[in-house]
Amino acid sequence: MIKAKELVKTFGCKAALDHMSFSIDGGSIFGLVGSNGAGKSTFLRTLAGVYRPDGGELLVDGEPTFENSRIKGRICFIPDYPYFIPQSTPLEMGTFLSKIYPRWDWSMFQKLNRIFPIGAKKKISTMSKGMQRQAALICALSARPDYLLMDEIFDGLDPVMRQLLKRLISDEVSSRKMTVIIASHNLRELEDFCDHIGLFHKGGVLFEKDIDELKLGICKVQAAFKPNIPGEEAFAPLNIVKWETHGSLVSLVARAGREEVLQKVNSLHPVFSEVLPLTLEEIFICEMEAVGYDIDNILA
Amino acid sequence: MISTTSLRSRGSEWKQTYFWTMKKNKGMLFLLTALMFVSLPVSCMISLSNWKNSASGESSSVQTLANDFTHLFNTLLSLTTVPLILLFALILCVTLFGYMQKKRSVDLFHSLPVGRAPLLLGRWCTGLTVLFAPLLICFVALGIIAQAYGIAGTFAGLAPKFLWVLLMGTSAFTFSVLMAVCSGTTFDTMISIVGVNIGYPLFILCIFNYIQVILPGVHIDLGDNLTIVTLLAPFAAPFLPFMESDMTTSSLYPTFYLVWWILLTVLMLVGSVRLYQRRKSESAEDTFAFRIPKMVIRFLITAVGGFGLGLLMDPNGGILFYLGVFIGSILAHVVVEALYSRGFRNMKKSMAWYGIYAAFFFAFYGILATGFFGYDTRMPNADDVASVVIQSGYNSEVSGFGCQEVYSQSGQSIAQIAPVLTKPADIQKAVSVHKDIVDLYRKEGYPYRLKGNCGCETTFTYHLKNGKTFQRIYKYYDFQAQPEHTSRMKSIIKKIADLTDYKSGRDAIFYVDPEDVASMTFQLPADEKTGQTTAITDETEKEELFSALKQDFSENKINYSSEEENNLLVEFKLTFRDQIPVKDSRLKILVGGYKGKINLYEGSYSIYDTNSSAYRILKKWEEKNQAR
Repeated sequence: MIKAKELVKTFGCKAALDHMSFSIDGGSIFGLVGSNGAGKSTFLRTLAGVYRPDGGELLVDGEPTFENSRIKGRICFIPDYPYFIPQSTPLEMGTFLSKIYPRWDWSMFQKLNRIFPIGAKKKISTMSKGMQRQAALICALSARPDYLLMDEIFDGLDPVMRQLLKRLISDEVSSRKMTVIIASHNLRELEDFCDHIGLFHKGGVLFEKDIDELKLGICKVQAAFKPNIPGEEAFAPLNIVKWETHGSLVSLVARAGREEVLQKVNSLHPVFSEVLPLTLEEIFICEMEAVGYDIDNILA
Repeated sequence: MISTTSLRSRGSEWKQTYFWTMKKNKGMLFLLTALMFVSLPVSCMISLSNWKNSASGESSSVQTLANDFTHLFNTLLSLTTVPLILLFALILCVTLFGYMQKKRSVDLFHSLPVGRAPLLLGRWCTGLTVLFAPLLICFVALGIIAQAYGIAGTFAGLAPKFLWVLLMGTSAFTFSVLMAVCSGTTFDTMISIVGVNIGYPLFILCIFNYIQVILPGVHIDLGDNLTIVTLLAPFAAPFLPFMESDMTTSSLYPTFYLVWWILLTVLMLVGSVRLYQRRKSESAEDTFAFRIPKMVIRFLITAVGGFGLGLLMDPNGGILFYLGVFIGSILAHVVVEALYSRGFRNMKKSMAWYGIYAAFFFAFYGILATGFFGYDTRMPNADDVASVVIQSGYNSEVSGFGCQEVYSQSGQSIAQIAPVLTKPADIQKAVSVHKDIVDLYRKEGYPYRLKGNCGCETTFTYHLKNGKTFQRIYKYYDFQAQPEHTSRMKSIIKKIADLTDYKSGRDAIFYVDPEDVASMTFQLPADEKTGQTTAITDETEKEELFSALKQDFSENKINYSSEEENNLLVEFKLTFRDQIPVKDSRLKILVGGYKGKINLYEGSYSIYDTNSSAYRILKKWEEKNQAR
């Protein structure tokens, strides 16, 4: 289990993580989403023990990770731009990491090398971006970590490799309860992969939820009213995140269950109403708009 | 956290790091071995072989070969091995510790289950192995070569120099590691290494120079203080023992210097580990991880720029000097800041640090100008003085040759002959004269300022009853180059110049016996062209003439006199036997703690005065010979 308590990480006078508190259960696939500069990569690096927290604490199974080799031996971190020892091959990287990670599994390494045909004896520096990520993934999974941290892992991978990656990771999660944390802007990939989502903004967590609960807890309704459209206040006590009108058509996103929203809308006697499912990307945009992070605000 | 990780696992992490980095750096190891092997054992072997083949008879003796080998070894060690070690210390610092200065590599290495201390120490040990394995291989190879030529004993005596190179290689490498830990980029690491190793010696040289030209009574012999000049410069210090003209083992290094470098190396290593544990990973690619080196280097370079340009523009401390100090320091500050900050963005903010330099300069100059808290007027109480040695260029009209220098058994200069006063009344007078000189210097130039130095020193060396020594050396400055100053100094010195002990203490002949004279010859001006000299072989005659020379010396009737330049009557030459025991109590004072026997080189004594005793004796002998 990962637990952040009042976690603070600053760069100069800017707080990248500003008194962040939340927790991630073991055996889950946790998606970190958020605006640029929200603190996702900083959180992953702090969790990996690369950064030392400036305040609060970040505990993995009750222990901090910074300068804690025992815990770090159970964590693998694939950053957004993975680094490999100069002139090394995946095999050499494996040899290096096998001496450091206590649970290194050569059979897994060989199996993954067969699955990802990048060439174990080929210099990593000559590989494409996607192949380098595959090499990083092979090394990370061969270390048999309890916690796998990945930053923009889908970046550079082709659709087939993305599906393969998801399947491999899902297998690991289901077979040995590995916890996976993925930071990504590719919400479509996270949507059908993660079971939990945490939304970061300006160094804080806006929310952290089960993805199904998240989807059930917010919905979009389109309704037509004649002759007059009721005002936004007429929909109270619904927590409306987004409100748009086009002629007699009202389009709203509310933080409530489908039935609750429909019941409220129908009580206002619309000519027509329907509930539309929201994608993760739409939820993200709505939530971010709610905190003032929208195109209009940015352009203004 | 360290507390949660056992020492055993840290040891294992160190081992993994060490062996892995060794594996990755074996190419570097082979390269350095090859370079060092060619530059040291192969060169020595070729030279020894050539000497052996070309030499014959006496010159081919083992001793000659051993001497040539020692000289060649020292030369090669200082010209090739030490530079190679230092160059590779820099290269290894970049290859082994460059990872902490790149964000991507930091992500990998700092997320690995390896503590920072074993990570750093494992790589540090790899660096040392790569640096020193070739050196040890060369040392063994040289030993085999020396054995083959029958000079293994000589070679064994050179081991301390090898150990010195090992120590200084460790120091230079550890210093580079410390700078790498403190810096955010490789470029900054290099600036810091170069900055400290150039900035610190230059800064100390500037400080020395300012002290001795501003403050009367101070003389800092650079040769004696090279250890201080290189105290914080591990890339300059390795060369120090090789700068001695006599590169014998005994003159390798002062003990304190050796202890200092051992302690400093340990301190730098501990500091590197501690700082690395506190180092923020995010400081990779930033200009620095810890501010201290930047602050120190900026201060050193700013000070050197100011002191240096000030001195160049006006060595006499006029308005141009102050202008030079300002321009030099501000330029140096701007250059260093621009280099560190990659531009002028932080320049305005950095000016506060320039203010610290400016405050330092004015405080330093002000303290010296006002006599360094009474240093200029401080002198011992006559009652506390056991003896005083006085050297002065103002003592009489007489100057020139004679025998003025005392050498040790191994031929090193250990003392200058000078009058030694031991009687309480004489000491009282010496202190009084010293005070007069202090008053004169104060009167002529207080508050003191920068001034050109013409040399010509007057030295007072007091040996106190408590065993301590108190010394003041007065220089003769540009502004004093006028007859008034000279005549004032002469009249002051005259108060002691007429003392019997003063007059009878200005040459080596006063400190040795006639039997210490190996040969005594004289030459008349008429024989100068033919080079004909006459040797005095009779022991009684030699003794008589020796006493006469001493008397003439006491009466200022000997040696060069500008007024009588063309009236040379006779020139005596005395050679002394080797290994003279130190019997005279005044000579014991002059040679200080030296316990062995002494050597004196040939003394030359010119007579211009027909009333001189030596000349009268010669005349007497001549008349006697003519009568026969």
